[in-house]
Amino acid sequence: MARIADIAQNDHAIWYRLDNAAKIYPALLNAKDSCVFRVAALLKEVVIPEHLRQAVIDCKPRFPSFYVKLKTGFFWNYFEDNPEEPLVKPESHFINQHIDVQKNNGYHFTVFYYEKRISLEAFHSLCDGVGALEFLKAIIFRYFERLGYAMDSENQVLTVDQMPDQAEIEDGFARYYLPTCRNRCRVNRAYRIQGSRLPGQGDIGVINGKMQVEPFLRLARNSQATLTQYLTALLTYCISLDERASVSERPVNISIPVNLRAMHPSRTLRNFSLFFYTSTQGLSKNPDFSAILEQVKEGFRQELNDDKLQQNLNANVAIERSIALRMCPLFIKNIAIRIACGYLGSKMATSTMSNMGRVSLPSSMLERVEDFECNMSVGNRATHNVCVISYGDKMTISCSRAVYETDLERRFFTYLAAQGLDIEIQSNLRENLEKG
Amino acid sequence: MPTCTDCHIRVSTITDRCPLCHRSLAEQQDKAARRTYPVERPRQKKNNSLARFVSLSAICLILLSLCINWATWDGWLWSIIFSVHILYLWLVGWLTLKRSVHPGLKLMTHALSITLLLVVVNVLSQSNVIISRISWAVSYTMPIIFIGFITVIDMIMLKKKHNLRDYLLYQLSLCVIGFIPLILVLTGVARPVYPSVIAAALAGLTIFGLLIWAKKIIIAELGRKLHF
Repeated sequence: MARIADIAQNDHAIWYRLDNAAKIYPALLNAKDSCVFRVAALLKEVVIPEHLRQAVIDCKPRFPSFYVKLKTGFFWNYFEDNPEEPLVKPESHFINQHIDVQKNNGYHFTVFYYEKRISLEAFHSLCDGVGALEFLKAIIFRYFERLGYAMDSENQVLTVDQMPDQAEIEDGFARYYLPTCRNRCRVNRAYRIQGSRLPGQGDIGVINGKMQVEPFLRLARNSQATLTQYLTALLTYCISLDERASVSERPVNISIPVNLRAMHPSRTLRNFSLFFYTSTQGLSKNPDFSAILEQVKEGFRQELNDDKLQQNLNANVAIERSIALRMCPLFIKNIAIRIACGYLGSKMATSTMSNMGRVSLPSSMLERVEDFECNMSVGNRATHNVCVISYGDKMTISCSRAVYETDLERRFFTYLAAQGLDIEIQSNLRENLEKG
Repeated sequence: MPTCTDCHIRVSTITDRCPLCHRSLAEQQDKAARRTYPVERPRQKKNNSLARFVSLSAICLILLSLCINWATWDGWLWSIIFSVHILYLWLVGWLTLKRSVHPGLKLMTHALSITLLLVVVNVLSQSNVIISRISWAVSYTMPIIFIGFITVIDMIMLKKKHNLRDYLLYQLSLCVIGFIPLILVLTGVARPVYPSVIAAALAGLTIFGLLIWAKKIIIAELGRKLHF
């Protein structure tokens, strides 16, 4: 019987093909770019690690696409069910670090705790921000259940008593690919923010700005802009205030991730997002914020529409499905991806502005969760990335950087403060390090 | 909460300087702030100095042997034998210590690299080299090495049945390579015939056994590994 059980386990190992976006990240992994992002929730009580660990284990059957290990095939990588127990660790001072899979029981995500905070760091091949947020919400919901609180999901959180749905693990790119018109968003090589690199490979400086959502929305509405447009314009404006940017012939390009679930009715928890760029050229020594905002709004009008996004999706999937690429052994594909993304892709963006949107929680969780935050990693080329998330009446703007200098963050937050916003700043204090 | 009068922002992290403009906040330290990130602990530095030293030493030794062989040339290319030994030792050391390499791949690589090493030694240790004289490497050591490594992986697979498919492709590859000594016997390159026949029989039995007992696993594993 034991032999039959063993063979059945071997035979029925669940595996998943990587989605279109997930295929890129394993090839791009290096010491300076972890391809890891982080979502975190600040609770109103100190976290109890043992209950959290049990909650993460309990979520395993509900989120099969997260509890996997990355395996190497001859043509493509793939995910396979991981029988090991996931680890819950105390938070480190260093965030979004490269996940050492060997020391992480083969998993590509880690749940951390620090005082009242639970954070999830995930390798981007596993999921995008939306998927990670759903996973984190489910872990926290289960954690509260473990603590003995009466919880009601109100259909706003995935719970462990539900069966995983095939729609949650589908490859959205493959499902909504149309072999029709293809076009890729193209921009010129971008201006690169200069600075002295932080010591240690992959070290990231984080400055979070917390503020009220409503005053900010009023500010954006007064300029007839959305929150993302306003923040993108402000980021461009702050970059252009640097003298080097104003004399540079290269444009300031901001990469903006788009959640494709808003365009297609997908419920996938895996990657289903694309990027588009806003490009601002002809910056002067005294840039005008209103003029930049108009350029950004125009960029949004041109690029952020269903046709363009669908064409971009089609182009990405068409490359993946080309016979020539499919027949190439994986190591050749990896070299090609590194060249294409490392030398071309990352040179297209000066920075990234990601708006994760507003987090919704059931009322039983609202009274126990104080706040949310999210952080992107910074790579070889883009030294600064910005991530925004709002929860209740609060909004957190997280600036990640790979350099000592905080000039960009200072311009960004002091501009908002000058508009009358009350801003609370948090930092992981990398700016206090001595330059080595 | 301390406030930076330059930036007009409040700072909720315990710090004596404004994170944005670095202006001193020391006089406001009595105001409520908290530690927002854990205290920094010195990061464990990955110590690659030994690996670098070993690699550099290996390269130096190989270059030195080539130079001495060239300077004292007497018609025998002994430096190649020396270099292959150094490369073998370097590969064995690196591969054995590397945690991320699967044990099946380690065993397969060891089997192939030691076979290659012995063939090179056999070829270059004789003058007037002709293929029929690489006798002991292909006639004895090659089949014995394959018998040994195939048996070891067979035993691991029997012991770790739940991880059987992790070793499957490495074992199948090694079994296919295990027929090479027999082919060399049939083409007249190696003799006597017995070690090669035993190696081929063991390889054949292993493949047969896997096809009988683990056909579905093989098909599933090949489907995963070769999906495109």
